[in-house]
Amino acid sequence: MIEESKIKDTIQKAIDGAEIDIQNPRGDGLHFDAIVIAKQFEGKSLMEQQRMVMEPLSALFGSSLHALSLKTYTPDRWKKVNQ
Amino acid sequence: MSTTQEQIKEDIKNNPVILFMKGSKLMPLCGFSGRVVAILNQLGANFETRNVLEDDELRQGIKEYSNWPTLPQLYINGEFIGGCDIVMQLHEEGELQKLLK
Repeated sequence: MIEESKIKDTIQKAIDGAEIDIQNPRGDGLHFDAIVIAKQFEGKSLMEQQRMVMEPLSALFGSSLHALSLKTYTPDRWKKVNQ
Repeated sequence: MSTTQEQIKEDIKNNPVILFMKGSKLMPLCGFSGRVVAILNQLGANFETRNVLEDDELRQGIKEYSNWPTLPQLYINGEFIGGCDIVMQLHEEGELQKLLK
């Protein structure tokens, strides 16, 4: 079990200024959905963006974090998909 | 380099679109793998699949190859594209179809 805030803080520390939304749709503290929007993602492939988020979280996986469904966006991309 | 790594490398080189997944194209045994298969089918992609549940060395080996901890893993023209989240995102944005051309 893990709190949303712990995941959020870990990502925030790794990617300064990122906008992060974490949901725990089953309410089980194990399966999370995350959206991360950051200007640091610009010019990177989606795989590279996911690695930037997942690497700092790797210590939490296996112990307290079971599954994280992740979507990453640059600020421009985010604006476009929400038009 | 171990034999498994060599085999994975060859397999990815020889197959322009290849999905390492749990189960088979006709019978995916995991929701995430199934979603990726459904998207590739919907786009009419010509793709190969490998079932990691039948081969434990492959299951571990593919994670080492990509340095990525989860399955499924989609490779297009030798490049590791990503897992279910990325494939869905690329599909929603119309980018996956471009990669498959």
